Amino acid sequence: MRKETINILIQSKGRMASDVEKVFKKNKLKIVKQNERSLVGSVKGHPNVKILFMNTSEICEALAKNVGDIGISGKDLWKESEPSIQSKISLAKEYSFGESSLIVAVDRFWLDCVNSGDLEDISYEFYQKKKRLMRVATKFKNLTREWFASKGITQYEVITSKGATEGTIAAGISDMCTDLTSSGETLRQNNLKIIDTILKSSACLFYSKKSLKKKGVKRFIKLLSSKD
Amino acid sequence: MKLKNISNILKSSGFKNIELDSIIESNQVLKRSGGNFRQYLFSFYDQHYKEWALNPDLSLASVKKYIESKTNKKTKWSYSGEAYRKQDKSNKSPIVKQTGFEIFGSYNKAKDDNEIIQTSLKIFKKSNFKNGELNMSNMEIFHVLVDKLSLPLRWKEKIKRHFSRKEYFEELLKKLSDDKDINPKIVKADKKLAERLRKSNLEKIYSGRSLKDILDRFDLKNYKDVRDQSNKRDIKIIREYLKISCPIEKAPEVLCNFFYKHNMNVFISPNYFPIQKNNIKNVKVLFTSNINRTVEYYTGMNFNLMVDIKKKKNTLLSGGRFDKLIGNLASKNIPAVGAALNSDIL
Repeated sequence: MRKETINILIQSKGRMASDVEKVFKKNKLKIVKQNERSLVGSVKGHPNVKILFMNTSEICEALAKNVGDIGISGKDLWKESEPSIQSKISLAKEYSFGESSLIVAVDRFWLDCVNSGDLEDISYEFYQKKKRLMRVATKFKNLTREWFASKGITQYEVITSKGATEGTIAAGISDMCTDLTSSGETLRQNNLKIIDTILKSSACLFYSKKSLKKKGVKRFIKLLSSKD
Repeated sequence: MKLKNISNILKSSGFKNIELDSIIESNQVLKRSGGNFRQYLFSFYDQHYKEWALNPDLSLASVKKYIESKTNKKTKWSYSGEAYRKQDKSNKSPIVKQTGFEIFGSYNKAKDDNEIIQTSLKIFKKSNFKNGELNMSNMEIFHVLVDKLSLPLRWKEKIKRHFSRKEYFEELLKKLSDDKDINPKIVKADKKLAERLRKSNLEKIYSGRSLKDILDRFDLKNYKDVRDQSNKRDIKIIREYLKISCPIEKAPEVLCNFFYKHNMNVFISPNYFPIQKNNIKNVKVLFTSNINRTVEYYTGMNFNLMVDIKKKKNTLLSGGRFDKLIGNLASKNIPAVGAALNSDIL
């Protein structure tokens, strides 16, 4: 066993960051930061543990590259990551915070569309009547493609969105979208309705498979998995 | 067998060898194969933000070249080269060697279908394989069968569309065994909204679709073309059809009996099949309904020529008629037929 620093990757800001801090507290671990804006911290009483504050979307990739040993990120981001990343990390615990669903949403005035079968017909309608593919805005192109493939829908085009995905429909950039939602309120306010759920997600504890060889990693995984 | 020998056979059969571009507009690939195919493309953008891809399939490149040639005349082309496709399995090379031959502007279907098959047989004869099996089918027969079923029209279209996606096709059959495909609670609320919307401007666009299109499909699904019962009988008939395999000489009789048994007034003439002999030298000729389930653009006759390698059947050649592909990619409807060689086993 090698005796090295254990790097734990957690979110730098936002609601999930405070929930993660609570997980540490419940397990009697106190995160110490030099100042509010510092992106590196430590855990009181554990000199070999370093906390690296990152953007949640970067945590899975950083674990796969062995920048970190343990990390907390969303299940959605893990499932969306490339297979080369997914194969290098494992899920240790699903927490009960950071819950959201990746859903498929269409205009609420598309009265004829209530399920994936309808959407498949409609994608052909676009192709036949408008001579173009149906456009789907999403931040989750891999999960979206998987869902479309599983439902036999092929006549579509993914429009990559960086934010405010629901707004791309009103702006005429896309015809429908897949997006994360927790209450569904933003969707309703944008005249959208949900026709299916691709994935139910929450915050999860991940670890790099390679890091299991490091001394203390297993113990910390166990500690952070016990209470949330 | 060397590629040079194949190109000589193709040349002597009147197929002109053409050079194909290495890249193609991504949009054209997606138009043919759908958005899901994007994951297999090696694509990139030019300085004008136009997206291009390394050619993932040479038959598509030859169709594109024919469209660009702006002719409607009968044209016989052959090609050989490399296509580039990302693979699901890491041990498979992204470089796919392809050799194919096609007849564009193929208005004499029977003659041209026969020519493609005869050329395939010539290639087989020059190969090192001693015995072969030629399986033939015809998409038109499957479409006739589906049209004769008691399914709602939109379901018939679905079943035809997804013949080439075996897994999803199975899922569709499973869905057909359910009693209904609409939720009465949702429909009740939507019917009220539909009545309100009928009074507004039908040309109004909602997320890319006109209100008229939305209401037309809504009415079709809920009033005119309702599936309110299980279609177990239809599923059984489809499955029975997909099991049919017989010597080609018997195919018209077997198929006529099949349709008669299910009270369908359909006559299948021998003209559906370009070859009507059970044996051509060392090649056994069969009608097999369940072949080429991965190619989405076949519209009529299609075939594969199988050979044994280490007691396992492998495809040496496969092909068929694709009368709608050119129309889907350009504004002109030009029938075509062609075949491609599995270069991997040569």
